[in-house]
Amino acid sequence: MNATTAAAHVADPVDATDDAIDALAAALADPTRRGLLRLVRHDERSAGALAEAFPGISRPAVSQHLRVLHHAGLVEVRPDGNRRMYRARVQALAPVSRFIDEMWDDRLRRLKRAAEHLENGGPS
Amino acid sequence: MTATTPMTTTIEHVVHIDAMPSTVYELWTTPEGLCAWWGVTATVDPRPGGPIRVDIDGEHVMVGEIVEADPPHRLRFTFGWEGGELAPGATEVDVTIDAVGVDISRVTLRHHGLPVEFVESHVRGWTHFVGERLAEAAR
Repeated sequence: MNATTAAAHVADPVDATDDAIDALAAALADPTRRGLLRLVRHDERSAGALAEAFPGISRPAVSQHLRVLHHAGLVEVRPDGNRRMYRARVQALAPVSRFIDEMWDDRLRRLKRAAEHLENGGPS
Repeated sequence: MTATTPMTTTIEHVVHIDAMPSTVYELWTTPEGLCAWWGVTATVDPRPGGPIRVDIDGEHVMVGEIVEADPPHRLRFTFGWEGGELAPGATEVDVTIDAVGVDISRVTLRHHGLPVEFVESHVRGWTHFVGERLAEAAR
């Protein structure tokens, strides 16, 4: 099966699950994949052109990185003749920042409560 | 509030606390303190190069390394998730604790290096291919 035709399988920024966030964060935790993302940020590029931009990395390895990005919903792909064209799906990144932002919002409220409790001489 | 550099975003939170900076600093730099508000178990050695590890809920474990510890006003540490969800060292948390009154601290937390540049950049011109939903997600 041609994985590049499974373009419908992408993370949804509005109904992001923990799994989606995990996939995003894991996909971004690699310098080659971040480099690939930068290249397709503004322009659609073919898999071949992307592989050429990373001469130190084998084509199968670049393809694997692109698959990881695609699975995380970070890129979309469309066939163009016998080429596969990639571009970034920027909206997929929103859940990561929201998750972290909400975590700090929640935890800093607890920090405030804990500090004020200590200062008021409550049992620690 | 966010500021954007290539591929990353900084999240900033400010909270005022009716407590002395030293009280707040202790809550960031002792295992007991961290467990009072952040995690269920914690390890921390608050000096440059020292570890900070916080098991937040028995499932998500934050792992990092102290970058700067200047009691009671400043703490910086790297921030990642154990298991590689967000690579340890990939982001940095910068906590500044200022006394702004008698027993009042202002805590400013900046979380740098979050891989989310697009959250803002799309607002500045990405809408041609992402549509309205993107702007909604960025709020």
